[in-house]
Amino acid sequence: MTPRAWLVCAALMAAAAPLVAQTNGSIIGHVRQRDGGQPVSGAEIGVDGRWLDRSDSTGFYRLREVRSGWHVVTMRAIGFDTMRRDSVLVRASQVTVVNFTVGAYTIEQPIVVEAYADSILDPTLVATVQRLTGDELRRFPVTTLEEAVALSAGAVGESYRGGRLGQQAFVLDGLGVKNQLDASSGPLGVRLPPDLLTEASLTTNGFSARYGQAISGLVNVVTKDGGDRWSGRVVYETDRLLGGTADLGQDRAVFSVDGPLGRGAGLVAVLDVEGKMDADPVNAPPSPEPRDPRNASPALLPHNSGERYDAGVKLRVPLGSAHTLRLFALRSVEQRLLYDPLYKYDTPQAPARRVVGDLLTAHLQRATNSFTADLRAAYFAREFIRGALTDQPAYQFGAFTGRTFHFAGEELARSQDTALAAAPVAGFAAPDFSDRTPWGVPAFFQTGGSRGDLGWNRFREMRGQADFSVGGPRADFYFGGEVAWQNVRTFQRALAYLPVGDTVPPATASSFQPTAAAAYFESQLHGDDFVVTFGLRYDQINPGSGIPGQTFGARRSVNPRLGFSTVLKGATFVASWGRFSQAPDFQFLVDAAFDDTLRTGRFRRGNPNLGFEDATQYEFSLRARPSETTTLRVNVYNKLLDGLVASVPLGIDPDSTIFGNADFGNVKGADVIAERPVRDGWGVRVAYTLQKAEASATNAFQLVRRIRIDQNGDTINPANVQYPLDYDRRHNFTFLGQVQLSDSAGPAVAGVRPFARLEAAMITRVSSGLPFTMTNAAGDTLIGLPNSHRLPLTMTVDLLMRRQFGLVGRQASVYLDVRNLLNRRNIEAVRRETGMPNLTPQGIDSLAERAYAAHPEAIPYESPRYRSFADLNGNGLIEGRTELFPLFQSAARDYTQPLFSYGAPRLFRLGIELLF
Amino acid sequence: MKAVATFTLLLGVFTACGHTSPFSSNEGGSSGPLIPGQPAQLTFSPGADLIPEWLPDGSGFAFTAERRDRADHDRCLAFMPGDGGTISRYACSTVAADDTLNVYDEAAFQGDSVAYVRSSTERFLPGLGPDRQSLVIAPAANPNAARLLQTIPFTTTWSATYDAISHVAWLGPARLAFIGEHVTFPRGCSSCVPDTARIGIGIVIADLDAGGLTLTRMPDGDSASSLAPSANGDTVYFTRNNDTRVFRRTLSTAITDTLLDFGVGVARDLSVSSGTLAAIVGGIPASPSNSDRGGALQIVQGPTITQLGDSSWRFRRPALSPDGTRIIVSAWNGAPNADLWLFALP
Repeated sequence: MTPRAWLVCAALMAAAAPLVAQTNGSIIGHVRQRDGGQPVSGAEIGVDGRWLDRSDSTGFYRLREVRSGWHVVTMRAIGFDTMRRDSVLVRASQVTVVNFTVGAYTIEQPIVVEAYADSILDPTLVATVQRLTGDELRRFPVTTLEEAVALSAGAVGESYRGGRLGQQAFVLDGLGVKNQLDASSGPLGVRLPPDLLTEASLTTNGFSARYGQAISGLVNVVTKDGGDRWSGRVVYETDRLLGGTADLGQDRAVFSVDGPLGRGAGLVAVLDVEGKMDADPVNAPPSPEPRDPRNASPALLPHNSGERYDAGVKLRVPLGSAHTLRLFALRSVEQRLLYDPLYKYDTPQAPARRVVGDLLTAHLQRATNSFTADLRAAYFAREFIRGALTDQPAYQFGAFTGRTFHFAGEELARSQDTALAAAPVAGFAAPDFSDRTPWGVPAFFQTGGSRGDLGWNRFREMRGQADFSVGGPRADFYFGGEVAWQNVRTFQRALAYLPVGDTVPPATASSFQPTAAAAYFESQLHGDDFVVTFGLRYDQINPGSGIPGQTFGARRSVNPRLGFSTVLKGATFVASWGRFSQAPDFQFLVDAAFDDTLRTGRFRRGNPNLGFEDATQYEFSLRARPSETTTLRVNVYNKLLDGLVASVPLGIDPDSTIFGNADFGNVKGADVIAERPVRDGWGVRVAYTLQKAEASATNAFQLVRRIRIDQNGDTINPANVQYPLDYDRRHNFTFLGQVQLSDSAGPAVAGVRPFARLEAAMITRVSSGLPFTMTNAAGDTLIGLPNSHRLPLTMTVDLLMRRQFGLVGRQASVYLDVRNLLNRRNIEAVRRETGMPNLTPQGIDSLAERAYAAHPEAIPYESPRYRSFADLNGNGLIEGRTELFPLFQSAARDYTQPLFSYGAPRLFRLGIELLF
Repeated sequence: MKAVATFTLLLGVFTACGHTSPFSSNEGGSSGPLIPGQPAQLTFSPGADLIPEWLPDGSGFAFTAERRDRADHDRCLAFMPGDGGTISRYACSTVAADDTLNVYDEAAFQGDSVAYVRSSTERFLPGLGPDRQSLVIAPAANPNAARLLQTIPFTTTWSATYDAISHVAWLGPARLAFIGEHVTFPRGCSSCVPDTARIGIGIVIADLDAGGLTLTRMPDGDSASSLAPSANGDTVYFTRNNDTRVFRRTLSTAITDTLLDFGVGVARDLSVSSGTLAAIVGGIPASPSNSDRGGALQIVQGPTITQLGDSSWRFRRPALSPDGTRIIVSAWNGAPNADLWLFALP
């Protein structure tokens, strides 16, 4: 930074003013006398029983750092009634206004309290935030936090604004949690049960300098504190009662409870478990082959079940008047059997996966209205394993097995013994062609042994974080820092049933201890009709000495963030600029072994000297309130991506590559979000995103392919080639509608009003297709630029209808949750060589020809491969092309069924809920 | 509590039904022969199907099947129901890639165990004989989980060297008998592919104990070409090279006598069960100058000797079922390789 820039920073810091914090909001207001509107000075203002502030001479007060959620706000002043407002909703990063108007010395006068939050017109809110409360999560047809966040404009699953997976950070109660090992390809490992949430939001720009490790978005969640009375919820939902194709084997149960423990302490505990007989159901068309079991029963895929267990508990303990200790523990276990077409008829050899995540946090807060200190410590551990199971689990209830999966070679992987792993790994056997297929012929489908892949990794992190804020009635200054000690261990082995040799890559293992550190400050400058926000964040990452290969010490990144907002007539305009960075996935720092010579290469060399991935984003936002009940937000943005990790060839051999900070790109787009919160029984939110996310042809594979030799023999290097990023969804439309009928709604039938207390929420999503790359039939030559072709449009309609009723003095409800109501067959992927989900008939014949040429031998009657329908002359032998080739054709058609090219089918779930 | 009880009741309604199951393959295979009859052809493989041996309970049998669907044409133990039909399972050495010809043969079942001979030959650099041979014992349910009993070839304490063994049979829970053989590889001409000629040179009795095998030579068993045990294991029926007779050795009394004499042709490949004896008689047995050509299938029930099957066929290695009512035998009926046939006995 130049000296002049430092001067500007110092000036901004000196004029510190209110600003956003991701966990907390603030309450402001005036205390005035009813007659004449005279301010009441010196009135004490308290939240939840703690007196925090006094009104100034203008009657103004401001309560800072109020935790997101519902609160009781109390005002007392000598000579006036003590007033109490017990349902004040504070949202993270927002200002809630609570005004008190009281008549002097008159007890009988009614109390007038206003309480509302206006995040639309609040100029201090610079960040682009889309949020859902815990209650909305319950009302909408969403099951997980990820599904809820995916409703945001600009989101494609867990990709935000064109970014790839893993470019977002997860912030839990102000503490960053990230799977730094393989966020771009693996899950976080911990899942927060929605019942633990007060609210969840997605911030796609302008987020506070307090948060780093993200270049596409922040998923910010605020968890509940224990309430002042015991309450809870029990839920069970299933599709058991539906039967037939509507029964996809889904069960989910939730038990949550929260309440006081005495002396101000509170407890929240949630258990959320889900089992699915088909955890990744597809709406693929049935097989046209009558003998294919998917012809008669296309709904459920075998060996594709999943179970997850998420348990969280949070304890809040007040320590004196100003201190609060919060302890939080979360454990998530996900076990999946993974359907593999190779093992369609011999599922025990198909792969499985287990991911276990643990998160423990401690948060000590000292909060006064002028100074807040948050000291946080966290332990995060995530263990992943994928491979073949030693034995198949038995289902106890639905898809729940209730036992831990055991994997072949699991102990070897944990011990990371690459020397021992050079020999065939115990528990692995060489696969053979299956004889259980309807076609019998030895082709495509396998049995007797798995693919031989074994992958294991473990990421552990200890994180300490200190956040401070200093502020007065109209000014705040935030600063702090964090440090994280990480431990990474990985192991990979391919073709584990064979010894390491010429065709089998060696096992890879790594163990290293990176450290990360960061510091930040942030401030706002208020003018008469504008607000300037400035923040600066410093990040540092050091891969550590344990990593194989030479490293060059710590990498550093300085990221300034600047926002300007001003209030126009009925609208607020925000311009923001920010630079964001994140450390690369640690998986790219170490070598990787693959058994895929066609796509990724058999061996990729890690690069311990990878640096930060960066993004610089400009955004202009206009927020307006066209009417009292409607809001409108328009965001226009431009994001420059730089230093993204890419796979770079070490030479002309595509099997030998190294990772590098080689890719860059650009994301431009606009969001329009119109909302009418639920009032008078209905509400809607409509969001539309227009976006263009492009990368430059820095992928060296493409560069090498595009190099040409001109007539003079000179090399022509490719020019600047732009092509869409993988998550470049050009158009995205989302509609969320809610209807809530009153107790007296609808006609009465025999004294019962069937439509009374009926709620419905519908989500409609229409999206243009994602890009994909086409190749020739051999797969070795691109047709057009990478990602220059588009998948077709996708559309889903999800619906949740809930009928509440009383149940022996308790509130209960039954509900029907329907996903993809129209049962639309959305295409999510296609074959690169055809541009369609299916292989062409010529392609199938070609596959069949190769398989037939490899096994032209006759199949005798006694063979398990013998199929009487194919023995046309009944001589006990299936022999010759006439009899054999149709079987190979059918097998090829079966094997190449494009199952996972299609999205989920219509899913029903009936639920029953009891609130207590 | 009432609310909870009512909720639990509703929950019970929700959970009462089970889920639909995912699809599974319904390819169950065939049962019984393709064309029932007398005899019934059980195998149609273009490969050789040899040396059937019944399971102790008579529910099925195992044989050595040439796997033409494998590039190395491994010869595996194939298990088939007693009435024929689809092979229920193979036991093969498939751990190695297709660069080795692996052979499992001479299976003999006792209780839950199977003893058999496994051998392997490098496929691309084949020697004249197998690279490795051994007699092993394994659970019948998993023949690949084998324990080595004896490597082959081996030289005994009585200075006999056996290049191969055949006709493995159980004489009791811990006692085996087999024919020890001498192997030669004669060539019809200097450029001809060598043949393999196995000549029996004696009967060996092997007692299993914790230390391994204790081998003893059965007296009077020299030049034996086949053997079959009695049900109680006390009697060993055997034939000799180039001999028309069937001999009987009672182990408890150490007496050897002649059971019967077919009069003409060479008798071999005995099988004995429930008072019935089967043997191959005639044909041209293997010798240093001849390839094996099989012979006629003769059944002896009391004083009656019956020839089964077409006289133009050639048979080897019959196996009588434990109840003596069925016989399975390898037969050449014009095809280049043997198939298995099932005969029902009166």
